[in-house]
Amino acid sequence: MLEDKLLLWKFKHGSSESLERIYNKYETYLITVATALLNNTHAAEDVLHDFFISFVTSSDKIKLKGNLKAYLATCVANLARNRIKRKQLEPAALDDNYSIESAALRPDLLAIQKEETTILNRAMSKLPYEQREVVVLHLQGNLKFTQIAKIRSTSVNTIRSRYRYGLEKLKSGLNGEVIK
Amino acid sequence: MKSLKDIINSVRQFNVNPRSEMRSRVLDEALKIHRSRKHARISDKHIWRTIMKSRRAQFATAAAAVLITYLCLQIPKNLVAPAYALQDTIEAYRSVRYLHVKAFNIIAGRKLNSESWIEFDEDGKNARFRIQVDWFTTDAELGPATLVNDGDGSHTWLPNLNLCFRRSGISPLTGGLLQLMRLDVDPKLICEKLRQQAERGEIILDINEPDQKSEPIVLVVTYPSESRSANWKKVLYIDQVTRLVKKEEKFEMRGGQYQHERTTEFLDYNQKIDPQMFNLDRELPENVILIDQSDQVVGLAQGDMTDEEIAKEVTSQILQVFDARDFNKAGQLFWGVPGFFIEKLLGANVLKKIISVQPVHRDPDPDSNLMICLCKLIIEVGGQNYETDMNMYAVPVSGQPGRWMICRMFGSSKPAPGVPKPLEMVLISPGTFMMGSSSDEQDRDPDESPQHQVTLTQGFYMGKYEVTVGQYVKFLEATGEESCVDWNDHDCPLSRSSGRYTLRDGRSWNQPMVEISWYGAAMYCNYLSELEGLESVYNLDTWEVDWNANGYRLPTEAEWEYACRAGTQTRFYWGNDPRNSQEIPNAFGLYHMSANVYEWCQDWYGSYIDSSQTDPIGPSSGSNRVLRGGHSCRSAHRHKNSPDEWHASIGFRLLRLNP
Repeated sequence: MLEDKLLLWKFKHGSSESLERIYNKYETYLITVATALLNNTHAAEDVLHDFFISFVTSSDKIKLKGNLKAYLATCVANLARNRIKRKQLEPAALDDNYSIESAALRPDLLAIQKEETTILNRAMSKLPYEQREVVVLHLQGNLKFTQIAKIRSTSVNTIRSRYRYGLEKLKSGLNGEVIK
Repeated sequence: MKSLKDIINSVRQFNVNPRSEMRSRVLDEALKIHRSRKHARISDKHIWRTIMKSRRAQFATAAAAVLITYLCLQIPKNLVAPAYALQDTIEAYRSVRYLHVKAFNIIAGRKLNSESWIEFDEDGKNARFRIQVDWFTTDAELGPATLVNDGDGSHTWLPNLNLCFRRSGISPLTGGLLQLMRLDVDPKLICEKLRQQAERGEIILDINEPDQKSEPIVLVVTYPSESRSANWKKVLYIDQVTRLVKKEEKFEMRGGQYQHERTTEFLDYNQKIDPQMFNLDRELPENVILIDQSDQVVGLAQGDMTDEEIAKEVTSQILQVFDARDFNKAGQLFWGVPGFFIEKLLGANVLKKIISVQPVHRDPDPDSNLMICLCKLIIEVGGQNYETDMNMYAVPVSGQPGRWMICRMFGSSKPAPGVPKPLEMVLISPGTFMMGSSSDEQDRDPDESPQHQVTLTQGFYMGKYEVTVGQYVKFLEATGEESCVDWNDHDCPLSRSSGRYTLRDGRSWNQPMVEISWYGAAMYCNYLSELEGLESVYNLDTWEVDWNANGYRLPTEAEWEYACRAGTQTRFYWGNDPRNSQEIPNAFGLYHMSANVYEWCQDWYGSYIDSSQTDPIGPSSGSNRVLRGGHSCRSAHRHKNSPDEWHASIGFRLLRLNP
């Protein structure tokens, strides 16, 4: 990700255009990760807001070793975790202000897609946060297990186990929903 | 039951689109803070003054300044992302000696495939080159072309015309075409050009380098909104290990979506190419027409004119010489080709009028250096006028500095409404011919056999063209007989309102009348007979025919085929190759006998009889009437349709016996 390194370098040297470019490039990715972690779109927006403010105010302290995308996802995950700890969020369905992206544009398929997303959202909300976090960061954030283990200061095997348990719970939850 | 794989996919596909309000809440606030911090940093000058009071600090600062100046000189080379990625790729091409390229294009809405072989020398410059394209022009079927640069000279070989242009060194034709095509197929040139554009800020590069080495680096090139190529996008796939380009794709935004324009695949890196591939001599037939372009001066001198002015001037001049039918002069302005080549290129197109020559602009295709001049013309093809928007592409002549020529012409036409033409009939003498097709005729249908001898004992007049819209509308206006026309079909050239008939948009009075039933055609025959004081052929109650009447009727199938063949026994009246022009008249002077629309015939459809016949009139009854002619249909080809049905591709032609 050569462009990211250049963007971050320019941003740290005062380029507002680079900040805007970083935002535009990762806005959808970060709101998706945050929403999946928090199961609440407004809370996810708050997290992104807090993150970008701190990203700007502490730009001098940013030291990027890996790639920018993973760094941003990690920061958002940390803020989401803090928020969960601070206040137990009630799982909520996604509101209509947010559109769920779908490859199928036909209205009937879109409706099915939206219904499936609601079911998935509900099943995700029933996962323990630690498992949900691993599933989201790995599958949506594209973070490797080793990266997640590092940011959670735990072993890779523990992360793998959380992922496996998470998926199995998701499977039983989703299949229950479908049969019902 | 959902499998684990389904669930993983569902989670991966979960995607949230951010609200537009979020952007103003999050980004605008972050930007505000960012800018205020930048200002705060600038106002911290007093801190520096304090530090600079120390002599040690002053020395350290001076040293740092020298270092920073040095680093700044290095930064543009090393930190600019495009240079980063592209430089590696350009370097990698130094080791490439052989390359095989396949390109798939859409040009003027038509597919064009090409295949190239390139041999590079030790300096990475291409020494020998061969490109094969599967067609050379869109309008006339000049067939495929092969272009070869063997290191000493260049050759353009057009097998369909048995023509080869050659010259030692660079010829305007081959050299120019190679130059145009190389920019698209030589990946080293593509990357060098991108690097230069990136350094000048003319492109926006987005590079995605996946963690997995097996996946290619994806380089997306877009263009700033003020650029002529703002609607274009280019994607390069670069192998992570070798740093060589594997594929390039090009898209143009049309109708709000990126439409695929071209895919180029780069194959067989460093697989040695047979030297014979660059030697055209052994492929050329002995009787090939060789055209030496050695001393030829091509195009117009630019003089003091700007690029836009010379492009417009060369366009105006070539149109004037087309108008004057001066093909040799036109050839001199178009690649330096001979006059007969231009004649072949134009086919049956005749420039009737230059309506306007509009201002010149650069081709929006990011890889093109062509200037485009849009001209509005009236072009006549096969007796019909078409309003044509013609894009003329002008370019500097390869190997002849300061001269410009036309290198491409693409047009789109719609018929001009025109002035309705009167009916024209051609006298055809009686005679004998073989009806149907022989058993060895290519693409023949079973109903064309048995081939049998037919004698027509009476001469007749046949319509030079199909009955036109302008002619048929007179019948509608005179009789109000509207029941035989499909008014509801958008393909009907006419629309009606309270007894008035008007042309639909884009239609011409001189195009064939279509969307009429067989009965509509027969009624028109009687109308015209009465108008000219001739005897009516059809009984409009029984539809029986008075074969002795001297009025107008539809041709019998035998009369139609006799008139179409005009003494030939080939598949088409012009020969056996369907690709040759269908716009030329046959030996009797009849147009569109194997072009344009199907034509109603008098006969009921039935099988042929295996014996010689005289003045045959077909079966006495049936359910379908015979249709003949139609676009690219062979002389013997038969078709049929129910007489009370209509279609956008069915019209008719008149016949009257010679008394």
